[in-house]
Amino acid sequence: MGISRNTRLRRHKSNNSVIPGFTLSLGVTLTMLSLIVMIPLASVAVVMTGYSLAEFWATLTDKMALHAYWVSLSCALTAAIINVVFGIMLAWVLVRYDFPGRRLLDGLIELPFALPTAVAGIALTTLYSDQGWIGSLFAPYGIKISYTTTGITLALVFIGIPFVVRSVQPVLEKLDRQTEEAAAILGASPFTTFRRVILPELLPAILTGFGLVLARGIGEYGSVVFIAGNIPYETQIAPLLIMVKLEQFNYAGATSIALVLIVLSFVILFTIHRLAGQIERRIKGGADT
Amino acid sequence: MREYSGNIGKNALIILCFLFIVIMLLIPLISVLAYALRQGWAVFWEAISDPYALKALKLTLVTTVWALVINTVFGIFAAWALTRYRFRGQHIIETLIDIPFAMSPVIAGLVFILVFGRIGWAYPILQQWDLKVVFAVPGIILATVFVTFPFVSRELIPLMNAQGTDEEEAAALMGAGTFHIFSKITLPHIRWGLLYGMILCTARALGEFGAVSVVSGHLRGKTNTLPLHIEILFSEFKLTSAFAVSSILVVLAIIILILKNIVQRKGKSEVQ
Amino acid sequence: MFVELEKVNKTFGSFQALKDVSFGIEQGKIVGLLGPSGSGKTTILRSLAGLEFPDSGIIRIAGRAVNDVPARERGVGFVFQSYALFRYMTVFDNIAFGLSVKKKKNGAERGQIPERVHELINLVGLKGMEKRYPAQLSGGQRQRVAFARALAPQPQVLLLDEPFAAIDAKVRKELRTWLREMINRVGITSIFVTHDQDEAIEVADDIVIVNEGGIEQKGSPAEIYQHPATPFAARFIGQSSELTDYSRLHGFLPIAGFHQAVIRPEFVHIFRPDADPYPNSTDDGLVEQAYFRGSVQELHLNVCGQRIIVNNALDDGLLSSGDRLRVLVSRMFLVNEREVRLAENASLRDVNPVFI
Repeated sequence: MGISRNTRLRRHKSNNSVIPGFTLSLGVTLTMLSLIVMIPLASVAVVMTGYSLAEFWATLTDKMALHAYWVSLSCALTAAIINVVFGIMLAWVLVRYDFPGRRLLDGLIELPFALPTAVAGIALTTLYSDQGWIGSLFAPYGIKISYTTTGITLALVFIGIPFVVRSVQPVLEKLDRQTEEAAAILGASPFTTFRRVILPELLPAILTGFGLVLARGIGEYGSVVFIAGNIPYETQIAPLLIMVKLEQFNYAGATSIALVLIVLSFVILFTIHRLAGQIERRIKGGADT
Repeated sequence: MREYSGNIGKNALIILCFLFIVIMLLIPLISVLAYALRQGWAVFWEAISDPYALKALKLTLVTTVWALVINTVFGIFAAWALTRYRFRGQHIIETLIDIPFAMSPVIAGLVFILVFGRIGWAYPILQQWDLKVVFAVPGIILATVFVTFPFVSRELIPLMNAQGTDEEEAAALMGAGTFHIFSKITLPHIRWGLLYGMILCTARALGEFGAVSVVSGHLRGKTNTLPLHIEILFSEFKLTSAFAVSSILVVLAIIILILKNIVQRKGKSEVQ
Repeated sequence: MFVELEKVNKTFGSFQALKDVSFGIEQGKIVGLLGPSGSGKTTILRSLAGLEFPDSGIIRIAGRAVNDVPARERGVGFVFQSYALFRYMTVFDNIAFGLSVKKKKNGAERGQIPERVHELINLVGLKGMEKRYPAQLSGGQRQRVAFARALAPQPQVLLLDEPFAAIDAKVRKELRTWLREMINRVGITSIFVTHDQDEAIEVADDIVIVNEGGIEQKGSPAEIYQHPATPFAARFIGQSSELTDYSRLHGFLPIAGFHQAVIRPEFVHIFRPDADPYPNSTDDGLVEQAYFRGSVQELHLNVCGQRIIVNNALDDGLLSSGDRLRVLVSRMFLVNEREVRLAENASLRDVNPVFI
């Protein structure tokens, strides 16, 4: 018994696939991963050890920095919520209805991925400025969009469109229509059916999409930098503050803000992942409660 | 079906979606072209045939090709290693590959400043060999590669996991070599996914702004990519020129979008 | 009639799923819609539920024409083939769903929901599983939840689509009996769809045989078995042999207009050649294949060049291929495209009129 268990363990350790190429493929993977991702990232830690904790803390809690985190986080959060609403709606319309232009609509969803962020940035800034096509419609009422947090949110909504749609869409496609029929026969109105039967099924996908938009929004630079206007204490976003610190050769300051953003996006993605996983596990019959 | 969708509700939703997409996506797209041509074709032509613009376009294309080649090679090797064998640390590697996704592009640029910049540990070594990374082309390429690093492997890993290893194992037992197995058995299954990943990688590389902006140093004609060139024109209030140059990227984006949809459809129909 | 279909037609594209379907169901009966897959039986069920809307014809439930009544107002319960339980709700919430969406306005009735749900949970024997999720239940338990959920809003009619299809064979028999008992206890008019004749015979009071979008026959299981009204019914029920040259058998004369005969295994009797009590009525038979079926042995016989299937009771000992027998066919169904006629063995009637 003991011997056979031992050999099995050993066989598992040194992979025993019959497919050749293990050493080569893993070697190339690890080398490239080290050169491009791991060594540079490790260097950040090395650089950080050169600064005193007090110095680090001071930049971290600097008033201007705190405000920049707040602008980034609140705008990203608003954008994520807007994208969840429209993302669900778009996914629903694309999956459930057939209408002229459906394929065009479907094909356009990824435009924010394909269009360079700088181009999107200057286009949105110009459109929503006081003289722009859309901005001029609002200007007479004293509503400014470009160079305000509204503008930042708008740019983040633009960037985030594909995330929720593309995470909800496949789930909606695979959904068992019989559960909806069951709800209808039991007397539920279409809205109740959506709220109580369909929405819970979509929740993990919605959460995933929400998390991706949020994380992307906090770190987004290209599309936001133009429309933000970069006014300290007003429309200065955190990634832009990193840029500002770098231009002043304040590497310690830039790095500490970067660290906050990294931690923030990891916490968001990790939390969302946990939440979605918990919901999934429940319905897959894992031990719950 | 009659019961589920009141036609009013259905049509209202469809119209709302169209409005959203038109306002949020289509109008910005059209506005780029409209602003670019606002002062006529002559001005447009002048802006895009400007030597600095052409040099920026060239650098953008060179960078994109580098990113595409490196990440495709990496993506294939990584997907092969992570899906064809079981070994310890597999999950850690997968997570590490995804890190660039979760990071702000500005931070990606910052990372390379901290390694190769004046305060970086690699700076003295580079000095010895008289090499420049930061504020030079290698830095731009490196930053772009970093930002687009997961694109190809992320497409391939789920695809190859779903496909399983039966066919490769059968071929290996018949004595086929690694390259033979890959090109004859694996590649036909993953080609559309591979193309899809490469298209996404291209799109991102063409447009990368934040990371490149940090490491570039904005030297006109030397380290300026097209998006950076657009930024300079815009900040100098040369709006028409900025939009004219942008329209090159818009056309590329539309081509990418069309390719993406074709590849996606082919891939889907092949699965079914 | 409590549930009634009158000349119901339904097409999907160019495919006519239902052709002039008319039949009625008495209150309190359990009716099985029996037919091969694609016969239209599920379309009938879905039309009754309001999940499909017929192109023409009238559907009445409890005297009311419901053609234009949406599913949620029809007062029917539906058990889906795959149960379609709400995966994100507990057993309790699944069963309570129909009550909670209906009694929104009435506070007093809302308070009674837990009571009603517990009553149903007790009825279907799932006490203690209220807080489980569907994924944590076995197939049989899920079916019980689906059943209780359908019954909760006290529907007038219960519809079940292939209620046993998703359950493995071992539990299926047990559940059939259980379902029949449950329906009888609740006393609800029930219609279920099945392609399994054993299931229909065992569970239903009445069977409706559906074929190619039309109704072939409606009647009690015994009626349908003994007096098939159409060639399809004769062939579909029971495991039968079909012969074209039936007049070559002893005691049967060719009848004009009937080219085929359907012979049920129990219409056939076999004897050892040395112990044939009816030598004037039997034919020579050769065992071509013998299959052991547990309680009986299924024999495929060659009689006058045609195959006849018969079950051999084991108390006479096992037979094997190559064995020679004497074969008596006591009766058969003669069929053509439209009609069925029962034919008795003529030679037998002369000798022993009270045989069997």
